[in-house]
Amino acid sequence: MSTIEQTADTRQSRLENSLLYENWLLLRKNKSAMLGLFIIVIFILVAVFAPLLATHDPIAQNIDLRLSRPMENGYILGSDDFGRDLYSRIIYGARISLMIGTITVSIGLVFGVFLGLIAGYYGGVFDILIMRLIDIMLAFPYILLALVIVATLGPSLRNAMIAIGIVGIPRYARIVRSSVLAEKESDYIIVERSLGASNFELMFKSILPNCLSPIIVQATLGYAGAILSSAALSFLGMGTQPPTPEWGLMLSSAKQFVASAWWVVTFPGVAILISVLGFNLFGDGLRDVLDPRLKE
Amino acid sequence: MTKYILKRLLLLIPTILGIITIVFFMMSLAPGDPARLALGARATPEAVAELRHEWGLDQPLTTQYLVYLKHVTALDFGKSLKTQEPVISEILARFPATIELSIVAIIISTVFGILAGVISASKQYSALDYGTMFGALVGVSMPVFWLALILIMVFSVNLNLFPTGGRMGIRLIFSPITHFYLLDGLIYFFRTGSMKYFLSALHHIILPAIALGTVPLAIIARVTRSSMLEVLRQDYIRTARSKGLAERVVIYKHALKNAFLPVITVIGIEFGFNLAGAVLTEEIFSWPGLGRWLFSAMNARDIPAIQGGVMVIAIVFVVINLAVDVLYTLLNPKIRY
Amino acid sequence: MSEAIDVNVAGRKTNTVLQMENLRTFFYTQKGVVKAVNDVSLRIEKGKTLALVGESGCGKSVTSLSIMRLISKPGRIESGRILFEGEDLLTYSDRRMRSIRGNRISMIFQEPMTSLNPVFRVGEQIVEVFLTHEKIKKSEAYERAVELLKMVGIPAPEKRITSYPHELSGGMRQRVMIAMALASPDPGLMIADEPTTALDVTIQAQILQLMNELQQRVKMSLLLITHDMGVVAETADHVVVMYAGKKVEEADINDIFEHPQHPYTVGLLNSIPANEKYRGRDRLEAIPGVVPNLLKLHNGCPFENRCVYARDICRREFPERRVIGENHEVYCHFADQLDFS
Repeated sequence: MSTIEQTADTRQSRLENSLLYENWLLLRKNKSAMLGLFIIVIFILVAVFAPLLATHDPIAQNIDLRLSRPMENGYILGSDDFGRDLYSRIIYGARISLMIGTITVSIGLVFGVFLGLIAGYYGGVFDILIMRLIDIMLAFPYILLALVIVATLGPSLRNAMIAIGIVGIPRYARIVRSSVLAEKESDYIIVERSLGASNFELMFKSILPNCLSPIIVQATLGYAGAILSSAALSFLGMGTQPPTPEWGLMLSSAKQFVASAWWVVTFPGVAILISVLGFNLFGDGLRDVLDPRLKE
Repeated sequence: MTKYILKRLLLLIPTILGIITIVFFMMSLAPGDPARLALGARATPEAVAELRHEWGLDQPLTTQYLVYLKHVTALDFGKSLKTQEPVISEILARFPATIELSIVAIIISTVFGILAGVISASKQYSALDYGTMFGALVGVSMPVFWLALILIMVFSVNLNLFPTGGRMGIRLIFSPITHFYLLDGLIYFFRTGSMKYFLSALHHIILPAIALGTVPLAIIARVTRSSMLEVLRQDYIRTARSKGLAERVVIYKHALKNAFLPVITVIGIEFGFNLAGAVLTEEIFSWPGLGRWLFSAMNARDIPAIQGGVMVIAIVFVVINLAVDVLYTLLNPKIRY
Repeated sequence: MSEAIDVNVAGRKTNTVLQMENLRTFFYTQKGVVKAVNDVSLRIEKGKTLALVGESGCGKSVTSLSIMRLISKPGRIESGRILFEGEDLLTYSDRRMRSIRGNRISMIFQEPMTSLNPVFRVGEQIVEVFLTHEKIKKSEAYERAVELLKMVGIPAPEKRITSYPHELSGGMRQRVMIAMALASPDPGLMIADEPTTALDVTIQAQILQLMNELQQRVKMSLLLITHDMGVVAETADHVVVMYAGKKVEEADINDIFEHPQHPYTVGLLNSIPANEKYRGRDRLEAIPGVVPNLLKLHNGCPFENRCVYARDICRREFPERRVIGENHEVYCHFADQLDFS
């Protein structure tokens, strides 16, 4: 490689590094975003190291010790109606939630970005069709749409994830579409097209990277929404089925224990609250950092 | 202006058509034969076939669809498989409960949400501001049904301040008139001079309304705050101050009126979500509304009921969104279509 | 360090409507302290027009906002005195200051398009000023508002009073702003911050003429802020030239045009297309260089990096005040050595 190429390369990578680094520095200043990140990291660690952190088998029942109070009988957070350790179930529940978040966001993102790219880039009939479809999807309040999809496919964790994923598509599609529309007429696109780049290359290599910021923000917030939606579906019996230790499912039978076993009602909800809060804090912080940039 | 409204109304039709179509085809995709489900596991094949014929299930799908469409336009949603009553009357009977709950919830959300947002914005960067916004974020991160459970646990069971469910005291002999219990309570007051019906209805609606209204409250607070911040940056606010107006006047008269517009949009949308998503709250508080009914229909695989319920809710949601859009353009003195 | 009041002007103290002494207004930003107004003193006489001139960012707007005490975070009035009819405004309570604003001191701003509240009718915004400061009935306030609109030259005022701002043109809106500023029984000082910059050239002339007339009629003092020496020529009695937060020269209107002493003032004058002195020359002379970064000022004269006459001392020390004529002072190390006539 000639020295010129070498310097160009280092300059390029240093530029990329500095932009990312700059964003990171800005983000660091935002204390609530850092708190969110901290929570997310803990969440992921708990999910990954669940077997090491749990004290009991999450689905092992022990009817004799059912509804033990926290710190009683070796149950850190108490036990539920079937004598299962609440603490271990919550730990493993992080795993489930992480998986749910990842899969649903992936579904929404992949299909949504794809549809958004097509609609924005090719326009015309594609745009109208896709936007109509999106509008109809958005005509349903999302809980209802997810419920309908799950009711159609049959209640299960897998179907709940599919439903939530599908419901998330419109948001990504819209974001990508408007970004594409904005970028389509930019100078650099015209230049690259005149240099012979194919549509595919333009879409994925040139335009898409520029739409990344809002997508990343939406994905982070998507995790939050996915955990909440899946909890809601499981609570209604339309999602995860027993004995899977999903946080929402743990709350579904909790109503009867409102007077007798407050720990059964409280702790799974707190777990949901903290994890969702973490994603929301971080997502908000990301948005603050990335958005004013876009305004510039 | 009227042209714009007409245009939007016309656009409504393909959307509603789309909703009906999706609902229909989804239900037909559902596994299981409705006729067999209705008759039970021990039904003979002939009985099943007869019922299928009676219900028109042996026709090609497109024919079924057109037949369905015809019925829907006549507001005939079929009969509930569970109760054999017309779906439409089941829906109408439960609608007021959901509407009433949603209205009370949205009033709570609006009043407190806007107040929180305005105060936060006017004291930007203060501890109050950060605290309120963090609180709002927590509010948005909470599962509604969990909040409902906690509210019941703390306020109903432990503090005994509120009932755990239902719309009206069980021991009160009460025949609903409008089916809006708060309204009916007032009517009873005028007739009998007794406030106990109104108070009981109020007593029952507070906790579920708080549960239902918390998330919208948080959202409204956030939107109000950012809208106010935007407005407070404007030149005309500086002009208002330079005229010697009291700060309170500057904020609540000059700023808020301008900041209000996006907030109204959010209020409308959240109201729509309340109507549609009340299913969780209704479940927990045993609130006899549309959401709860739809949910039990889903559990019972009561196809006509599910179809009817989902459609009605979706259409109401769409209409509310349209109303919000129209309201926005009406209120914005700068946009004239 | 407070400036001694010049013997020449001592006799006219009672004719002073506003006296600003050593005002310092700083902005504490994340990137550092911006000394927007750095030890500026000026005096406005009753019934006269003082023009505050300089490029954008030199601190003239901040000066006017400081008088009105409309400086908000991260800005702060650090020190100095602002004597309005003898009393220091900086010691006033919030409540007292509010009774002054819009009543004895009023302000009109640069952007008429955005300075009026879009959701209230024009009449209501004027009437508001009356109702805030006086105890009068709404109907009477509306009558007076119509009179004001007539006075500022708005045709069919009874109809216009119910218009929304976006229904009026830029020039009309500025007239409304002027009317609002006059909505007081005893206007003492009007501050006009670039009142014509955002308007068409033809409208500019009309507005300036209107302000001149009104000033005569109402016997009001005017602080006019502008970067346009042409506007100064038409309206001002006395001129203060500012640069990067500092006052660099001050003189009566004739002196400033005929005997400018500060290199920056000369530069400003050279850039007027219609300047008679320079008729015949083909080129306008723009001042080379750019306004310095206010975060990184040295202790010397801020004009140093653009001044052709600058020497070492200009970077080290800010010049002392030098009186070079009646009502004429300048801040330059070489004031008496440079001849610009």
